[in-house]
Parts: sequence; C-alpha cells; structure tokens
Amino acid sequence: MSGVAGGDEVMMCSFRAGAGLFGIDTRQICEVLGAMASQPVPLAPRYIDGVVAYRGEVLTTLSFRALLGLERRAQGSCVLVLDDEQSEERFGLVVDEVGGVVMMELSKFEANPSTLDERSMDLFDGTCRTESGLMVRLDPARLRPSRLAATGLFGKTRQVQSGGQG
Amino acid sequence: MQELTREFIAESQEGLERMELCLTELEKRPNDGELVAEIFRTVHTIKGTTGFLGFSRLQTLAHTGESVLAALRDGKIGVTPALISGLLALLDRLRAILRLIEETGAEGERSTDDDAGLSSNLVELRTRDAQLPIPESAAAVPRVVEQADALPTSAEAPASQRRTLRIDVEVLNRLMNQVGELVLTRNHILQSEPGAENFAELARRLNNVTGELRETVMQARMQPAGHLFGKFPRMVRDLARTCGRQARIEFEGQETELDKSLLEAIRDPLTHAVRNAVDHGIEPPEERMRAGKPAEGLVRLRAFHRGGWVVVEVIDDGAGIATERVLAKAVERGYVTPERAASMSQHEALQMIFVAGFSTATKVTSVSGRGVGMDVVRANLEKVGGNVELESRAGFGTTVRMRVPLTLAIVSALVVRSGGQNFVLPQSSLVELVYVPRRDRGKAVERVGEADLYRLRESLLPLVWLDRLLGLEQGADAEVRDAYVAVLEAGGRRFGLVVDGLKAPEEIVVKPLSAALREIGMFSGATVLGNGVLALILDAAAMGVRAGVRPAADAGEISGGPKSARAGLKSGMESSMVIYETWKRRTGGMDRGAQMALPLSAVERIERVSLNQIEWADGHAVLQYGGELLPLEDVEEAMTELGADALATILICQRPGVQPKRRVGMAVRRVLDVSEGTLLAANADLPGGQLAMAKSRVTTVHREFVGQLELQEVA
Repeated sequence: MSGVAGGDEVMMCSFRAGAGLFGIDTRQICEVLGAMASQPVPLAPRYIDGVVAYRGEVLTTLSFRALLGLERRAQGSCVLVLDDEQSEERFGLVVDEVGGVVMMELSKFEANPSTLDERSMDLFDGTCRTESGLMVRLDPARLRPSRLAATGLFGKTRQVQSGGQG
Repeated sequence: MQELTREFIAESQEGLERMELCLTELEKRPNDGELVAEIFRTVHTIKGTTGFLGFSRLQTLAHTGESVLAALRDGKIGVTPALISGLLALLDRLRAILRLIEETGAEGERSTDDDAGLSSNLVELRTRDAQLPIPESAAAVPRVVEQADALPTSAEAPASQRRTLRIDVEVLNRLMNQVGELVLTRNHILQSEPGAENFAELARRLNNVTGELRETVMQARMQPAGHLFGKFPRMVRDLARTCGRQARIEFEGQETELDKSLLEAIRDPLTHAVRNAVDHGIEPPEERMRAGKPAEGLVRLRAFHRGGWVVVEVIDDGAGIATERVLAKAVERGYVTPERAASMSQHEALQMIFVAGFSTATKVTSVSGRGVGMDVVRANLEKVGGNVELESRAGFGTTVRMRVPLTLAIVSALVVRSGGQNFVLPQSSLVELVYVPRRDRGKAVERVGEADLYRLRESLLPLVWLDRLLGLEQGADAEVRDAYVAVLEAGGRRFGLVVDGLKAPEEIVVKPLSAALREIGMFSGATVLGNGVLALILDAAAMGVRAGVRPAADAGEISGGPKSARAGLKSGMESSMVIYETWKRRTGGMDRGAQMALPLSAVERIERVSLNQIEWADGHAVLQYGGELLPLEDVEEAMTELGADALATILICQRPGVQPKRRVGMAVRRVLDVSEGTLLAANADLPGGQLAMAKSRVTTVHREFVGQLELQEVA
C-alpha cells in the first residue's frame, strides 16, 4: 500500500446505510456527489436505484439499502461514484449519509464472520473495529451491477403487473 | 509509412474507383472520347507518381496500361469486351499492389502474381486487331467466381478509405467560424452579470450558434450515396458474365446524402443485395425471352430520404420469389407449423427469408431463387438502427428495401409521460399520434379477451399501455382519464402505445446505458432533456415484442378490413394520402372548403403558424422556416377569414421532382384524415388536379403532386 498512510495503513471513506457503518478505500472513489435526483428505471432489478447524469455520462446507481434488504429512503441520500480497479464499469452507490475519511491499519481487518448470511457474505469484504463501532469494508469490484446480476442473489427484476386488465 | 505514400495511396484508390466506373461506362458508349481521356489520366498519374516514389512494379504495369489506352485514344484499336476485361484485370492488380503497400509499406511480389503475363496480355490486346473476337481474358473471371459465393467482407474496401474523409475547405472554414462565434458567445455569457437583462438574447444566440455548428458538422459527415454505388457497374458486369446472365444496373438518387458511418454500415448489405439480384433474381436470357421480358435484366438502385430515414432500394425485374416454396422450406425446417404457414400473408412469408440460418442451412437459393445470408443483411442493418424489407411478385421481380437513420448520435424524439415519469420515443418509429379524450374512450377502445384494440381508420390497432408494460404505478383514475396513443411501427410490428401525456418534441443526444440496464431490453439508451432531467429512450421494436404484438401483416388479417399499404404489397394502385379541407370556397358557395388530398409522402410536417409571422415578398406570401424561405399557398383566403393574428394550419410539403429539395407551405382549413386512396383516370376538365377515391369519397388531388402518386404506383 502506498501514500502518506505508510505501509500498512489505508484511507477509508466511511458512510452509513441503515444502522450499519461501512467503508470503502478512498482510492476507489471517484467522487462523492451530494443528494441527487435519480431517475428510476422500470423493470430493472430492485437493487438498482436508477440513473443519474454524471459528467456527460449516464451513471447507473445502486441502492445500498436495497442490497442490504432495507426499505428505500425517500430523501437525504448521497451518491458515491465508484470505479473498480480495471475501470471496466463506473457506477454510483446510493447510501444514507457519508461520514469522513478515516485511517485504518490493514492488519486490523478481520475476515467476514462465518455465520453471516449468504448475501452479506457476498457483499462484505471483512470488518474492522473503530471508535464508533464495527466498520464493514466494501470492495467496489464486488458491487459492480453486472456482477450482482450474475450472482443471482439479489433478486430478479421487479414484478411486472400483468398486461391485461388494469 | 510516409505521409507522401499514404496520400498517394488514397489518391490512387480514388482514381481507380473512377476508372472502374468509366471502364464499365465505356463498354456501353465505346465512342466517348472523354471517358478514355479520364481513364488515361488516372493511369498516367499513377505512373508518374510511382516513378517518383520508386514503386517500380506499379510503374511497369501502369506504363503497359497507358500504352494500350494511348492506342485506344488514338483510335488504333476499338473497344471490345476483351479489352475492357483486360483493363479491369490491370485495375485489379494495381489495386492489389496498392493494398499491399498500405499493409506492408512495400509493393513486394507474391508468388501467385504474374505481372509479366498480365502485361503481355495487354500488349497483345494493343497489337492485335481488336475487332476480332478474342477469347475472354482469363485473368478476371476466376476471381469473380470466388467472389460470387463469398459473403460480403469488409476487406474489399481499403482501410484508408474508411478512416479518412474528404471535406470541402469551405465547410471547414465555416466550422471554424462557428466555433469562433461560440467562443465569443461564451465570453459574453461569462462576463454578463447574473440575471442580466440581455440573458434571453444571449441564450438565443447560443442556441443559434449551436444549431449551426451541429448542422455544419453533420454536413461535413454527410456523403452522397453515390459513393456506395460506384463499384456496382463493375460488379454487375462481372457477375452477369460468370452466371451467364445479361444485366445492367441503373442508379437513382446518387446525391442522397447520409452519414459517413452509416454509409459504411450499409455498404456490405447493399453489395449482398445487388449480388443476390444478379445471381438469383435475374433469370437466364432464354428464360426471360420466354417470359416476354427483354433478355437484359435490370437492377435498379434507388436512394432517397423519407421521414428521417435514408431508404436504399435494390429493385430487380427478375423471377421474383415463390412464397409457397419459401413456406414449404420453412415448414420443413421446423421454423413454423404448417397451420401457421397456411395462415401467413404473402408479405409475412417473404420475411421468413430473414430468419437466421434459414437460407445457409437449406440452400434455398436453388429452390426459391433468393436468400443467401439475408439474416446477415438484416443483422447488419439493425445494428445501426435500420431495417430491411422484402417485396416480391413472382415473375415480376423483387425489391429489397433497406432503411437507415440519417445519423446516429442526435435524433429527434418525442417526450412522453407515463406513470409520473418521462420517456423518450424516437421519431423514427413514430407513425402518428392520436388523442383519445375521456368521453370517447369507451367507444374507441374495444376489448377482445385480454387485448385492447383501437379502431383507427377502419383497421384495428393493438394497444399497449406503457405504464402496465413497464410495471409503473397507475393513478386511480387510469381507466377514465384522457389518453394519447402513439402509433408506432418497428420491427415489422405496428401498435399503439398508450401514454398519459405528450410533451414537446426535442432533439436528443443519445447516451448509452450500462450493461446491467441494457439487459432489460426495453431501453436503447438515455438522454438528458432540456430541463436537465434524465429520461430513458424507449425501444419501440422491443416493446412490441414484449407486449406480444404480432408482425404487421397479421394485424391486417385480424381486422378483416382492407389491408393497409404498409402491411404488404401495395395492392394495385393504392397510396396513402393526406386529406384536408382548403380555404378556397367550394363552388357551391357553402360555408366549407373543398376537400383536397396530397400524397402522404410529400407532407413533411404539419405546423401551426401565427399569421402575423407571414411576410410578403413581391406579392407572394413567404414564411421563414428552418433557415429557408417557404413560399405559401392559399394564405390570403385564410387571412380574410381568420384575421391577421390567428393561428393557421400549414402543411409543409416537398415539391415533387425539384432538385435540390424545395418545400412549399399549404395553408389549409383543417386536416381531415390520412387514408388509402386510389387515383382515378385523368380528367382534362379539372384544372385543380386529378380525382381520387379515398374512403369511398371523391377527392381532388393537388395538381402539382399528382405525378408523385403515379410514380409511387409504378414503383
């Protein structure tokens, strides 16, 4: 690991979704956008929040709450623009609230607890204790929308109402 | 590769292309000195430049060719098929060497190349008395045989041609000017105070500059379709010889312009269609004579603009396709059940040819006379948002009609609302809009089982509710409020999409969606609307499929009514007309205008124009419309009745037969209907036009446009 943090430290951007505290390596975050009105996409999987305009592109956003199995929140959400290492896919992650940047020692990270449910096991990338509680580390590569679709863990498309009688 | 060499290659390739055209032309008009001179110049230029660049192989060949051409120019020898073939073989060799130079940087020599043989053949042609029939030079023929069977490959066109584009310096200057203007406007905006008074003016200027800039860039990218046609005379000539046919090719609408990238996209499908027309469409001469047709078959290439599309048609007067045989094959291959096949209309049966693997697997060519890889043609066109249709009459010939959009990046579209969300419908799939007021809903919408149908001009249109299709929330009053039906046609399906509201038409910039969203299959992209909100672009063809709409030919069968012209072959003399009421008083003196009709294809738009926008020049009413001056007809009558400030309906029509395109505005009292009509026999007593029968009522067709209807019928 490089940067001012020294050999075994890493800068994490912390954020909240529901009751949980999460963190993503800052190097994998392109930009933190404030609250943005996303346009919902009909027939898309439930975990897709919608699309937002971002620097001349159409950015697909994920609802992290939906991924955790929580109800959607009407407002006050915040969009993180993530880039996985290969820059294959840029996408947005909608979270409740962005905290700040914290330095973490890599050695403090522990693997996912073995009792975790299957979905969380797939999403999470280890945990770490902080002063404000347990922080779950996320890996953007695992959150890519196309990968999520391929796992099949997060539900198919939203229910379509039957085409006949209204 | 050196800049000089690259330039030389590009120039020579263009020269050779011209030469190819001239050679095939020369065969038809052997005494045209201009043509010989042109060919001579090309070869001479190549010879000169190659000597300078040090390509000795090219130089030797060009020199031999030049001496033959000199003899031809001086009248020492005459034009014979053998001479043309010999020169074409030379041209092929020159081209091959050029390609080699392009790829490797050197002209090299492949073991298969026999320059000496080619040269001696040419020398022989020069010295021998060319009036004697000489056996066909062997050089050209085997190559052609190979080509006839191969699928079209992109390798045929040299790579450099696809990467470079020749632009008129004038256009480039204009671009630069406009960019300068843009910079100035930006400076002006940056320096103006927030909330400045002149903001509206600045916005308008920005709008103008962007519009002009866009138009110029588009123009720079536009290429005449004639560029595509150049190689066909040669191809048809060679193919006809190989297959033992007599055929010639004719062009129409070479000046029709389309985007460079689309030009490339349509190149292979077009090659394929022309090849098919000669190879399988046109019968051997004896057979044609027996059928009472001239021995020489005719392949016509026709390019024209229609409603935001570029249409390219390949029309042959060959044997046509026997639909029964296509169906028999389709049943045999298990693509359709026998029952389904029996109920298919002719048009629908023909479209079976486009089913993937239909032809390659069965060698339908020998049976039905058409079809190698038509699925590839369709796939290629659909990739760029186009489509292809087939029309055929057994014994009379076949028409392959390809349609591609004018451009890819910016499309005109209509914004619609459904379930509280905005969606975008590309104009290309939009046929018309129908407003169904609340009180008429019960009457207009009919229900058969689960399906809703709308009665639109004597035929039933399947309805698809956008909100239900997309699983959107519906308001409590969904069943009782006003609705708008957007009649869409895409992928051979025709249906009415019901939306809650229509918003303004807009020119949108298409942005791609991420893979995860493309998978849904209903949206072809997204765009940022003028108000900054994102909207998804609906894919009309996919919606039709998802909603289970059957291809158009079926719809006609369900309704049991008269089949619409789009649903299949134009039955006899029917064509679509716009029927309207004029401002001119009827001779009877009643308080209504006379009923008139115009061919639908001539009407570009229907506008509502405020009468005070109309200006007068030299006693003629004109309107500034989209950067041009539009002459108006029948405006005085409208003004006397409505007053000077009212809104009037103007039909924007394309003047028939005038090139370049000229428009004319027709002030009308109101538009009554769009309907199928039949032109009646000409009547000399009628000065205003010719009579036509539409919806069992007699209508007068505007005299200027009668010719267009007749043309359509012939086509």
